[in-house]
Amino acid sequence: MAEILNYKCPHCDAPIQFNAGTQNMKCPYCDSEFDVAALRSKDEILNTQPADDFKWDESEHENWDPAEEEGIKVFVCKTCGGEIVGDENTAATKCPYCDNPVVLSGRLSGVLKPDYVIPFKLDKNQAKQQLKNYVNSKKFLPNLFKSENHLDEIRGLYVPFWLFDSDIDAQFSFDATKVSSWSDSKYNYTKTDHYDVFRKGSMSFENIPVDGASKMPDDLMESIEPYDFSQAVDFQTAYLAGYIADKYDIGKEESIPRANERVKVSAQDNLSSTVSGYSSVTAKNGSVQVTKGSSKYALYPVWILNTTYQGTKYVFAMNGQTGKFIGNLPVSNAKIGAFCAALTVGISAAAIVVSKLLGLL
Amino acid sequence: MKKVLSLIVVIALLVALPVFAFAAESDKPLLVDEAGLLSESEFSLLEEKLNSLSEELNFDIVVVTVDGLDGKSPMVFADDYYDYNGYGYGESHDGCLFLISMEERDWYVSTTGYGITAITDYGIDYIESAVVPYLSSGDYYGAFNEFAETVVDFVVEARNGSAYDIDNTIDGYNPNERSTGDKIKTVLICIAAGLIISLIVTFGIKRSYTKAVKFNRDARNYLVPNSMKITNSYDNFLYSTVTKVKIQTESSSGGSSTHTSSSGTSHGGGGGKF
Repeated sequence: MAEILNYKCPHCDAPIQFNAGTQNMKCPYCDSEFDVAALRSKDEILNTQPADDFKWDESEHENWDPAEEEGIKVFVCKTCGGEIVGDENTAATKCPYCDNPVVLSGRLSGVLKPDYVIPFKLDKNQAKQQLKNYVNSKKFLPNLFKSENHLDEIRGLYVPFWLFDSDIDAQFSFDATKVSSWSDSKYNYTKTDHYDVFRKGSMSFENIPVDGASKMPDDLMESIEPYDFSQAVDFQTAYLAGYIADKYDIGKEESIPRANERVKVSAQDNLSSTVSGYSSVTAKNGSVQVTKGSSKYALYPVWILNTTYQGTKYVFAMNGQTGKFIGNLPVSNAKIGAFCAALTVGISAAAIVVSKLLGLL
Repeated sequence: MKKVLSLIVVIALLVALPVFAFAAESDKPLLVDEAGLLSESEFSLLEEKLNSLSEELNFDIVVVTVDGLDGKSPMVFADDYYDYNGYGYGESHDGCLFLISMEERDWYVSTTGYGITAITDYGIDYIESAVVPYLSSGDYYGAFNEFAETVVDFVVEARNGSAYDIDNTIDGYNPNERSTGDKIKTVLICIAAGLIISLIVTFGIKRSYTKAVKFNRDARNYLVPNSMKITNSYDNFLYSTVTKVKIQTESSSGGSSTHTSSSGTSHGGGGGKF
């Protein structure tokens, strides 16, 4: 049975959590602040204590189907004793009864311990504010969206990422052309010179993130990139308090192809950028060889905000480090239709005026 | 004896008359209908008209129809025909020649001497607008008649001071003015362009709302700065292609453009198809 861990203030024993603003642990009750490293020693002492082990007589109840049981784990909150049900990959959450943060430390001790974590820099209020800014900056939202749309849920989430480092050799062939033109009294001449261009080079990439949680949509996670890895720190469970943390459920091997795809596009772009002095450059074919590859396992901070509008769920994500905010939104067809009509009239009128000035009308 | 004398005079007159008549009309006919486009009555009416007008103005108005151009361009054929048949009044060979070739349905107006002054490029455009519709409908007599009258009008106007040109127009005729149909087409193109651009912009905006979440295409944010080293490269030239496009003649600033024919005479003029 997994151990339940929540951090208690060494001063007043109230549950405390990681504060994104001050980058340390702060007690919300007595305002004491603690260094994460200092708390860690306390954390270690806590770890030596035996985990709770509750055995219930289950004969009277219907047993979980093994497949169902597989995905469900029950924990007990240390503060209030409430039972917390989470799925297999949940590592940190809030107790639904006393609302205190808990870290389900057993969850993280599973297959791999994260190597790094980028701590939250932005808190819940900043996430809410960003949602407001994002929605307010959009002019073609349905009028009712702002008023009827309500925030169902806001979660601070440590999302597991695989980070890939790779040194690569790449070679690409290009078709390139140089176009020159001149004229005599009767004709305009255009000469196109065709070239076969080849580039081979080496380059290095660091920390290309690939979402390791199947629950998180990959496109949503890529949309809030990039993260600044220089602010990552060695993983400590203390950072997880107050946030939900997931364990990866997509393995490293399965994540590599996505990193390779992005590397290949960038390799082509970079080699292509060295082909200069031409009128046009078209990549023909090429290949990439990874000469050295390595990976890390890290937790990145993400705020997930769910809203509902007219029965449809809208999911937004904010980069918990940089504040980059993204999410799909509905469009008011009436508003964008009016805009399109006005734009059509404007451009057509301008085109007619220009035609008139050119003597075509 | 008196009878004999008068007979001799009559005979002498009969012999001399065609010679005088020929001399009066100069030694080259102003109407040559090799292609046989005119009826006999039309031919004589028109010939009469060209002869009297040319004499009146001291300015040859020649009309030539042929079946083919012997491989020459209409311009060269018309210029040579004018030069080698010795048309034209005075030292500068004042006159003009209207050529019709049925083979390729070409028409061409060649101007010489005072013709270059009187019939400007603008004048050629006007002739095209006034005469070519007759040609296209097969009314050759009407076309040549219209041509002759138009040229007379041009020569008279030129002698009165200034030739018809873009700054001295004939009833406001403007060769560059576009037809109503063309104008409607232009307006429709403007509206279509506006609609297409607007739709592209609108769908772009709509996409930025409903498809804001998307995959990254590359890994540029993760490239180690200055880590790229080119280890091998070449740029091999393969081949060249050349295309040429004829330069469209700009709308003229007035006057006549001229060229020199094979006989060394300077000509103006212009032509086209009918």
